[in-house]
Amino acid sequence: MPRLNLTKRGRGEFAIEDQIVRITSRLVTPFIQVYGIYVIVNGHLSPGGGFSGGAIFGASLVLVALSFNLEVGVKQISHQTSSILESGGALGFVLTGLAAIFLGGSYLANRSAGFPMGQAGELFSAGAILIITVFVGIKVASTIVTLFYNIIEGEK
Amino acid sequence: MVYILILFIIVITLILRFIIGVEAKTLLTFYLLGLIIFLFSFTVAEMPPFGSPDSPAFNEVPRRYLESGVAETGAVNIISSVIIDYRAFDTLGEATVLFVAIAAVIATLKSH
Amino acid sequence: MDLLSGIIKNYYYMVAIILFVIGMYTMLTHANMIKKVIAMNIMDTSVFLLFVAIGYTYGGQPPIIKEGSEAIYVNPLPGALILTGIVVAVSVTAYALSLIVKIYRYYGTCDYDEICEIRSQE
Repeated sequence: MPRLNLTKRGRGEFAIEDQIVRITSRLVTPFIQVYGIYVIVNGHLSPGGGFSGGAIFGASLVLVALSFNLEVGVKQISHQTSSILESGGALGFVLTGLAAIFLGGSYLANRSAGFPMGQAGELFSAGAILIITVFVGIKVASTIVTLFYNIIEGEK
Repeated sequence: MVYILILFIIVITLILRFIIGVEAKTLLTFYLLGLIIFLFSFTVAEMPPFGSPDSPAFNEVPRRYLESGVAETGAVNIISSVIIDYRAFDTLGEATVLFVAIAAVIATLKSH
Repeated sequence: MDLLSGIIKNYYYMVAIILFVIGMYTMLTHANMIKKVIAMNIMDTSVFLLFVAIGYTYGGQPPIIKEGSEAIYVNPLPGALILTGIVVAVSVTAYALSLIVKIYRYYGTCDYDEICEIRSQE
């Protein structure tokens, strides 16, 4: 049975030092991220949307942190960045609703508030739906990354 | 008919408990779960048939969303327009639930 | 019988009930706490399956409207309900796992019976 190459450092932190896992994850991560961004941005044209696209994007960052060690993962997205992105996603949702009030409709309105509609079926159509989808995607991705960092770290 | 079934169950219970030696806790668990499946299967048999076009879940509200969804919101994906345009307040509540859950996880794990 | 023909006609709902019972059995009998969390996830998944299966119509397409084609579309409302439900299930699982991490650091074991013994001896 092949042995897993694990090195123990400190209490509760492992680093997988396997060449195949590292090279494969280094090759595959850009494709996963492009696919995640595609699912988020095409939320109003094909099945998908903010939640599933955000989960795919967050999963690629967790893959980088798992196949290398935790320091490399934290260098991609630090604790501070993921915290700010997560709060920023929720704040963006609320501010889009408030922007609908300033533009003349009710809270979180789409067509009656005057967002640019465009042609049905194009990429830049359906005004507020695209903006809200992108914010929700950012929020879910950083939620998954923050959860992973908090659960995997050992005691201080 | 029902009495024969009850007698059958009692005989099986006595055989399993005293001759084969299964624990009483395991038997009780299996009987409880069997009772749940039995009761729910009556509910499943009474439900409207699977996939019929005149089921009560397909009344005028989904028909309105399907017919005038593209014209009113401009999104081709009807589910996206339902959760972001027609029912946007529920999605705001869901984003709040995500946020509160993450805050609870951080507060539990990083309390010095 | 009537009962049997009703079950075989609505076999999607029956599978959802059986999945729920499997999850409940695992939660009641296994002592490891992570297995209990997995069983809770299985129970959540069975409820989602029941809800989404209610919204199906025969010969229906997914609710992505194409130009000018007269097709029967599937009911979009249960799918939109379940998106919120999935997010709530993920949140509850995350919090349960973080609680298990705290319990493991304090007691040194993940086994529910051993924790009850340790607590009853203090």
